[in-house]
Amino acid sequence: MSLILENVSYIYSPDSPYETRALNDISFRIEKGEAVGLIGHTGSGKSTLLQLINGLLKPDEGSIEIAGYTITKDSKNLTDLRKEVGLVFQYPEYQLFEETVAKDIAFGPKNQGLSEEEVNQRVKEAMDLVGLDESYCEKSPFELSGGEKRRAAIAGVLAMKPKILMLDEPTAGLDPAGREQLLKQLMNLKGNDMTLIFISHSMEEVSKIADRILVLSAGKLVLDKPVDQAFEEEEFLTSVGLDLPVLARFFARMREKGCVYKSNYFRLEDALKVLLEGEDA
Amino acid sequence: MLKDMTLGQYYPIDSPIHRLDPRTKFLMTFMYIVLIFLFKEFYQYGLLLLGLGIVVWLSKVPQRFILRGIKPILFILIFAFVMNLFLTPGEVIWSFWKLSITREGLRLALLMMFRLFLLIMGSSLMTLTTSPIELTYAMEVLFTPLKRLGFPVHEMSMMMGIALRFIPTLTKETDKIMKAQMARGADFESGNLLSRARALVPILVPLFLSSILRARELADAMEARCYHGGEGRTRYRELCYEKRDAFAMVIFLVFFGGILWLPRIIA
Repeated sequence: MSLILENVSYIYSPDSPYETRALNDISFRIEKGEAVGLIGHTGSGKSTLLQLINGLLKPDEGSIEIAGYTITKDSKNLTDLRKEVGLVFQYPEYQLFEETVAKDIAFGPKNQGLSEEEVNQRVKEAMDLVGLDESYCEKSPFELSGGEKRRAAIAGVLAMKPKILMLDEPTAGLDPAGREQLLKQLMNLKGNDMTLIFISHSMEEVSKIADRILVLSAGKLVLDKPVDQAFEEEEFLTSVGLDLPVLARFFARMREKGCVYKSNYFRLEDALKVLLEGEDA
Repeated sequence: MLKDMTLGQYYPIDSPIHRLDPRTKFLMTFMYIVLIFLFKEFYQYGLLLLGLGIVVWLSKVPQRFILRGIKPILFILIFAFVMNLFLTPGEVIWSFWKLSITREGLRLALLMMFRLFLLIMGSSLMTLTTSPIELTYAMEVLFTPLKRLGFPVHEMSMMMGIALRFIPTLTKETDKIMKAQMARGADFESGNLLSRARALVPILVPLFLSSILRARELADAMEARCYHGGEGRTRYRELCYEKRDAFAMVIFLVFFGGILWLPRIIA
C-alpha cells in the first residue's frame, strides 16, 4: 500500500489579507514500510502536509491517494481513511482527556466501533509498543511525567492500528532520557512494517530513524533523497537553513582537508569501522 | 473550522476608518448601538444601511469578510424573527392551524431582524478596523472618570485586552484539539443533541486544562516584568485626537440627527 501525492497545493485563509500558499505543487510517492523524515523550517508547510495526508485538510489543487482512497478538494467523509493513517500531533499530551490512561487510549478504537474485547486487546498492544506497563492502565494521564504522557498519547493513535503512522515532532520538549526511549520505540515500529512519516528539526534524529528525507522550503518540496545521499548535499541543505548531523559534518570537513573518505558517514557504527579498521566502503 | 468567527477579529490594513482614533470609533459605535433601537421606520434603516455601506467601503474590508460575521448568529436572527412573527398580537393577516401572523408581528419581526443585523455589522466593523490593544486603551481612557467611584478601570481594561488577545490563540488551540481528536476517529457532526454534547468532552477537558496553565504562565510572566496594576503606569503610545476625528464625528452626528428628524419633517 503506497501513498501517492500528485501536484498537491494548499492555501490558508483564501480571500483574506492572511492568504498564504502553504504548499505548492507537491508530488511524491512513499512505499509501504518506508521511514521518511520530513524536515524544513518553521512555516515551511510540514504540519499542513501531514494534515492533508490524514484528510483533516483537503488539497486546493492536486490529489492524494492512499489505500484506495483519493483525497481531492471535494472529498467527503474521510473518517474511514483515518483507520489507515494515524496522525500524532505536536505535543499530543495536550489531547489527553480521560480519567485513566487505558480509557484514553481506548478512545480511538472505540470510535472505530470495535467490540470491548477487541478494544482492550488493542489498548494492551499499544501500551506494549510504547513501553507502558500494566501499572499505568488505571493511572490518571495527568499524573504521568512528560515523556510518559507523550507515549500514552502516541499509544492512543497506535491503538487504531494505522498502516501509516505520522508524527509531528514526536520528541519536541522531552528530556534526553524520554527522547532516547521514544526514538527506540519508533525504531521498533519501523521494524514492524509500519510506514513512518515524521517531522523533526533534529538532523541527528532523522539520521537515526529515516531511510529517506523530504525537505520542504516555503511550501515546496526541494529535496527528496535516501538519507545517505541527502547528507552528501551539505551546501544545498545549508542554503535552506538546515545542517548535517555532527558525524556527517566531521567527515565532510575531513574530506575538505583532503582525506579520502567515500561518503559523509553519519552512523556511529559506520564511522567507527572506517576510522578504526580503515574499511571505507 | 472556526475561521468564520469575524466578531472580535482585526483586519490589518490601512484605511481612513482604521486611522481614526479608537476612542472616536468606540463612542460612535456606542451611540450607533443605542440609536438603532430608537428608529421606527423602515426607510430610516434603509438610510442607515446605506451609511454603513459607505463606511464599509471606506474601511476597505472586503464585504464578504464582514458578512461572514453573521453566520454564527444566524440562528438567533432566525429565532428572533420567527418568535416576533408568530407571537405578536394584532390584526391577523394570515393564519394556519394554531399559528397566525399579524401585521404588527410582521413589522416587528422585520424591524428586529434589521436591528440585530445592523448591530452585529456595526460592532464587527469596529473590531475589524481597530486592533484589540487600541480598543482596550480607548475604553480605559473613556472610563477613567469611573475610577473615582472605585471602579477598577485599569484592571477591567487589562482583562478585556487579555481576553481579546487570546481569542485567536484559543481558536487555534480548539481547532488543533478538534483535529487531533478527529484523527482518533471522533465525530462531532452526526448523532443527536446528547451524543453531540458528549462528543465535546474530549475537546473541552484539554482546552480548559491548557487555558488554566496558560493563564498561570501569563500571570507569572507579567509579574516577572514587575506588573503591579495601573498605579503610576505610563504608555508607550499616547492617544491624541486629530482633525479627522472631529470631522468624522460631525458627519456621524449630522447623519444620525438627520435620520432621527426625518419622520417629523415628513409628518
